[in-house]
Amino acid sequence: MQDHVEEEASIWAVRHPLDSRQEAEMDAWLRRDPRHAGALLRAMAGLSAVERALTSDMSERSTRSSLPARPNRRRVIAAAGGAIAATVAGTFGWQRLGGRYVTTSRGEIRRLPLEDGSIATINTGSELRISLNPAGRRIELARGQAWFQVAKDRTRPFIVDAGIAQARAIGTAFSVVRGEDGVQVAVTEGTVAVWPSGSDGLMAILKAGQFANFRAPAAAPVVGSAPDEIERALAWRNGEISLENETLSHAIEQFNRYNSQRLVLTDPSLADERLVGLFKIDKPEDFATMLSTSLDVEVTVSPAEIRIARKIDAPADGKRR
Amino acid sequence: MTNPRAALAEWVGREILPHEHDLRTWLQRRLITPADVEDIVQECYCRLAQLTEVSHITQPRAYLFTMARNLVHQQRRSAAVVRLEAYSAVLEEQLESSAPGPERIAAGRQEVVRLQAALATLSERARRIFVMRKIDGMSQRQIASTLGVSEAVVENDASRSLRTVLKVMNATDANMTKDLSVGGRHARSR
Repeated sequence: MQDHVEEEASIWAVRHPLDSRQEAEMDAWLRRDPRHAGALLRAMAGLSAVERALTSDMSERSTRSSLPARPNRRRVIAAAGGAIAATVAGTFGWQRLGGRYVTTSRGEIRRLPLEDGSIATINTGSELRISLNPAGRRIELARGQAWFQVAKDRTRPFIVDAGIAQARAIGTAFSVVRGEDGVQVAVTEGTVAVWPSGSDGLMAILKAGQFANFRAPAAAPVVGSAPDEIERALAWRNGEISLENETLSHAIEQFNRYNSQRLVLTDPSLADERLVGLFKIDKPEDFATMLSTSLDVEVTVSPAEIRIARKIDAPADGKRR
Repeated sequence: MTNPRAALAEWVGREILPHEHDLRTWLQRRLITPADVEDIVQECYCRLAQLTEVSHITQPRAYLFTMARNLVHQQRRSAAVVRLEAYSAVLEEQLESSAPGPERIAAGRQEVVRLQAALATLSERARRIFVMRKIDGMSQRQIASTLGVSEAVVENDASRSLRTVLKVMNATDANMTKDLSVGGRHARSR
C-alpha cells in the first residue's frame, strides 16, 4: 500500500513539468488521499536533491567557500555529487564525425554563421572542426579561440571539446580559448555546463559573467566571476584590444598574435609597465607610437618588426638588468 | 522556481530530506514500530506540503524533529485531534541539534556518503535523464526522442531510480550503512 503511493508519487515527480491535462490528473490524484501530497513532496524533494548533486553548481560553491569553514551541508553534498557528475558528462561524447574544418590565419577574425542559426566568431590563429547533425552539435577546438552565440535547440546540445575541457550549452553565448597553458571558458549570456575531459573531475555550471580555467587534464577548473574582464577580453570581436592595467608584455603578446609585423621589447625592464587604452588590433604601429609619447621609449619600425627600447641617453647595451 | 510546489520541493530536498535518515533512526530508538515510523515520516511530509512559506524556518533539522516528536506524543496519547505544539528551538536530544558541533559535522559527512552511495546505484541512462532534465530543462518526451526510447521507458527508468535513491539514502539497517561507506569510491572529490 505504502509502496504503491510512493511509486505513484515518484512517477508524478518525474513527469514535471506538467501540461494542463496532466496537472488536472495529478490534482485529482492528490485529492484522492491526503497522504499523496506528502509522498509527492518527498519524491520531488528527492528528485531535486539528485539533480542538484549530479549537476553541482560550482559557482555557488566557490562563493560560499570563502566563508569560514562552517560545515555547510549544502555545499558538501554538491561537492560529493560532482565527482559522479563527471562520469555522466563523459557519456555525452559523440563518435567522431566528419564535419567541417575551419582555420583562421594570423590576424584573421572570422564571423561564421552555422546551419543551425548559431554563430561562431573565430579569433586569430584558430582551428576548429564543426559537426552539426540531428544527434547533436559538436565543435572541436584544436587551438585558438572562438565566441559562440548558440541558437536554442533543446534536443541538440551544443558541445565544445577543447581537449582537456568540455563545455555544453543549449542557447547561450560563451567563449572558449585553448592555449598552451590551458583552456578558459567564459560565459557572456545564459548558462553553460563545463567539465574536465576524463572521468574524475567535476561538472560546473557557469552563468553569465563567470569563467572557468582548466590547467591540467582531469583536474577541476578554477571558477570565478569577472563580467567586466570577460567583456574586455572579447574586444577582439570588434578588431580591438582593450587594456585596463595589463602589462606591456601582455599587450605585446596580444598584438603579436594578430600581426606579422612583430612588436619586440628590447628592454625587459619595461615589461611590467601597466597600460590603459583601446587599440586597433591590426595597428601595432599606432600602439607603439602611443607608447613613445607616454612611456619615454624609442620606437624603431621596420617591415618585419617594431622595436621598443628605452630612450637612449643611458648606456645602450640593451643588457641593463 | 516560479512554481511554488517546485520551490518548496527544492527547499525540502536541500534542508529536510538529508535528515530523514537520522529522523528514522531516532524514531526507531524510541521503540516505535516500523509501520508507525513510516506513518510519522509520511505525516511530516504531508504537513510540510501545506507550508506556503519556509523563510521563518531557520533550523530545518530541528523543525523536522520537533514536528515528529509532536506526532509521537500525539500518537501515544491516542487523542483524536491534538494541536501541533508551537515550534521551539529548545530540544531534548543532541541528535536533534542543528548546531554545527563535532557530532553534527560527522553526521553531515554521513549524509554525503549516503547520497553518494545512493547516486552510485543510478544507471548511466538514469543519470543522463536526470542531467538532461536539470541542465537542458528537457521534457520526458524530448529526452525519450534524444535517447531513442519510448516516453514510458524514460518515465519508468527515472521514477524507479528516484525510489531507489530515496530508499538507499534513508535505509537505517546497520549492514546497509556499512556497505555504503565502502561504496563511497567518489568520496575523494575535492
